[in-house]
Amino acid sequence: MIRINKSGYLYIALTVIIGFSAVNTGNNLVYLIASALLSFMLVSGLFGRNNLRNLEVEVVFPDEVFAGTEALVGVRLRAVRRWWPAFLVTVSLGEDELLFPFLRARSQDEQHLPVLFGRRGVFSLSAVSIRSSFPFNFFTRYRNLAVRSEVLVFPKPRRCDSWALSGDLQRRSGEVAVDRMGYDSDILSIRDYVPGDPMKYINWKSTAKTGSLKTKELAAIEERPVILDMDRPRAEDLEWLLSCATYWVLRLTRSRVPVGLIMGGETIRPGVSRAHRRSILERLAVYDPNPRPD
Amino acid sequence: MIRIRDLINAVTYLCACLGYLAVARHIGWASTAGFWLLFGAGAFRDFNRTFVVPRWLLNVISLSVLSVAFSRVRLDYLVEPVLGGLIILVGIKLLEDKRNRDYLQVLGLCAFLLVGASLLSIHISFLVNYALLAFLATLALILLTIHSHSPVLVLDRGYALHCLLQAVMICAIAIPASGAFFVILPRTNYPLFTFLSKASGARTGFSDSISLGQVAAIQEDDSVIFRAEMIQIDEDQLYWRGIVLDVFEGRAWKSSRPESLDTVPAMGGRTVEQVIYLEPYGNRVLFALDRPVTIWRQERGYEREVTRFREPVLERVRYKAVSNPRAFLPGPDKEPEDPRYLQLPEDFSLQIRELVSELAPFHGRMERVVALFNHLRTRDFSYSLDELPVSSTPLEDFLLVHKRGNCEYFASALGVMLRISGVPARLVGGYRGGVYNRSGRYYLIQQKNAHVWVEALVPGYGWMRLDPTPLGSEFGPLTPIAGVWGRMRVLMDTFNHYWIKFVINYDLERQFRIVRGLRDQWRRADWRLEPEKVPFRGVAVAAGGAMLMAGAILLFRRRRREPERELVKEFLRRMKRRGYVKGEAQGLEEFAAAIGNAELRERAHRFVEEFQEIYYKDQTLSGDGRKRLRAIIRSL
Repeated sequence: MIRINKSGYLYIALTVIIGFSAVNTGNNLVYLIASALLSFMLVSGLFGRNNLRNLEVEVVFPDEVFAGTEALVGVRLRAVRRWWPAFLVTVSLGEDELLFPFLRARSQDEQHLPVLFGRRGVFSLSAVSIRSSFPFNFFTRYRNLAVRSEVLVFPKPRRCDSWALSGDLQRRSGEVAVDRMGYDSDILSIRDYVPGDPMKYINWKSTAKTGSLKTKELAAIEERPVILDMDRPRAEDLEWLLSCATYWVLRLTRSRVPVGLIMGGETIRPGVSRAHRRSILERLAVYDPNPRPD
Repeated sequence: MIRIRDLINAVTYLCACLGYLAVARHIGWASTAGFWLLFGAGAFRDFNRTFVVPRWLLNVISLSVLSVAFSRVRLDYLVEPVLGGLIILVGIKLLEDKRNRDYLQVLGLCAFLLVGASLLSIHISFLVNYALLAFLATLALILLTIHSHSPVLVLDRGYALHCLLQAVMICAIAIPASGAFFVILPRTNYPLFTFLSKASGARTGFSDSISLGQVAAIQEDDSVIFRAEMIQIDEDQLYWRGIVLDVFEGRAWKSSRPESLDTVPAMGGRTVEQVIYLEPYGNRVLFALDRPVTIWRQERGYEREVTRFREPVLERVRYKAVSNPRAFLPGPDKEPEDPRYLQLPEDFSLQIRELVSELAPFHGRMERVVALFNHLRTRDFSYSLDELPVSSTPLEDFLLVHKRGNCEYFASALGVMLRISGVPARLVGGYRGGVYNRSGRYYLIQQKNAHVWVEALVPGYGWMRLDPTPLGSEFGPLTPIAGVWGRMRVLMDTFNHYWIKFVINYDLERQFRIVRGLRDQWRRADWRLEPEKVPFRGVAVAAGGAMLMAGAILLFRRRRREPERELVKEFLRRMKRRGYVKGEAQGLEEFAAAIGNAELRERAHRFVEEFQEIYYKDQTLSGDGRKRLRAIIRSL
């Protein structure tokens, strides 16, 4: 698509005036100037078209995108051509635009754009629009480029009271000592000192009793897993609940509390890994209480 | 590193210079001085950023300049004042604190200056100015486009060079392409504003009468009067006939049938065809090689025979002529002789009459002619452009006292003496000689070739051409132009000739002719295939050429496609030959790992590793990398 700019209208007017003078003076040199104006218009069109050809755009989203929070989206423009550089290419992503002033042939450039997603869910981008006024600012040429980019936007994390999600969240959460060696909780046993044991774990009482250095062995502490039950009927708005759940998933996993999820009759067992957290967030992002029948 | 604004300023100032050069010859000193003053001030301002002149003040000045310019406009002096005003406007624009649109306005004004210049002069130097201005304007427009997107941009060398390259490429395509537009743009036979075109002011040189004894010296004029496209002929036949001067008034020769070129019927023998491109010279006389048989001219789409122009020639004219180049032509042998060829003023110089009776006491007409002619060819008489006799009796002074003069004196003297001795005689005005341009196949005839000779009516011979002027004296061009400078001039004139032939003289009629030609060719073309008519060799060469071309394009395209993908394809082809086919869902690494042959597997691994190192780390495939990968593929 081509849009004529203000200077383009002036150029066309100039061409028409000089063309008119050429016909009406019968002067071949004026004809020559009119011809030049026309041919420059044509050639600038060809160059403009060429400028937008053989370009590839890749949109790179960050790993985790939350609704209502600005995410830095990377836009990579690649010139898949042998000789000619690309000039003044503007890539539009919705309302936002990025200008790539100059891109050499067979090279790429990346710029970042803060993007705000209003709601959770899957956002797929199948095309971006690029445009350029090169070589002359008379016409702006537009082109849509196919991109295959999909981003899953997680619900907006919203701070909320824990009871909103689960009545026993508060009651059940907390630290428990587990039957495993660690450095945190009760004494499990006392053993002989091994060089390298920290001084603070030396049990002075036993050392005094036995005359040889003794070291305490302590139990490890583990967080008690939390399961977010979304299926329990509640009065609150679903989106609010999903936001609240997101908040808790983030908060608990950050403090290494295993989190599980019950949603739509499906249960995800608690876990603390990054992949686990992601899978819970993905489910929260795409949750639809009334799925359309296929 | 260059600031884009500085670059735009530099290019814009150059454009302004070119605009000035285009019109420099046609504007007054005040405009010139004003322009350079503003130009200097603007340049100082732009490159030092010292002061800002308020825009309103400049607007007021612009308006005043325009009013002054328009107040000087007259119908016959229309373009020059406007150009003077425009050049000042360019200067004012340069002085302004320029925004993008101001730069565009400067470029637009330069375009108008070029248009104005083309109305006043049609010299080929226009083409140089036009091409340079087109290039600089293209560069300026590219830079302005970049500037409008990022005003504070600083260009590195590479970026600046690429901009320059783009401008060169655009011009390299657009300027030749404008030739195509030039051919097809609509034309009319009835332009409305012809009064604007003054490209061809009248020029002096040839005159339709001869007055003797009025000037002491004649300046040689190098300007071109016409070019004649024709074959090369003997130099002594190069007499370009213009006008017959048959009325003698004591000191001047005039024509009783002014502005009419008398043609003769074809008399057998060799004829020479000429296409003549006559420069505007302000007279109505046609010229053609002596003796012209017919002359045609295209008028309003028709070709018609002519012997004169209806209007003084104020623009370049093209016409065709056919001539019998010979010194004799049959005269009215049997008809009664026309008394006007014997006419002399009453009581014309007694001294000359005495001289004639002394020189030619013969009875035979031919003998008298020879005697009088030979008298002027003696050593006593010499050719001269200065120290000409200025008096009331110039012919007597020439014949009896000074014996120096130019062709007008020689021809007048012979003509008068012939008439006194009773031989019908007349003078013919035209041109003598010319330089043959072999590459352009035309004769170049300059104003300094202007010449007058005599024709005498001799029974049995007819009108006989007599040229009493000492040969080679006044016709520099008869001796070929020598030296590097001379050759350069001939070369330049060749360009100029083609410029006039193809550009300046292009009109509606030629446009039609091109269309008709194309249509005829299309119609005449025989599309049926007859085996005996097919030039097999030609077809074979053409087909071979086409195949080579197609191969080259394919190769080029293949290389253009991603080279990485090509390498992988080649790798997989090799492996297939060795019996290993990659599954669709198989990755390269996986595929390599599954190869049974240990040695092959090891090499395949090397390829895959090296390839992935390049491909997945977003590196570009360098020449070395490609060579290494190819070497591995070959070793498979």
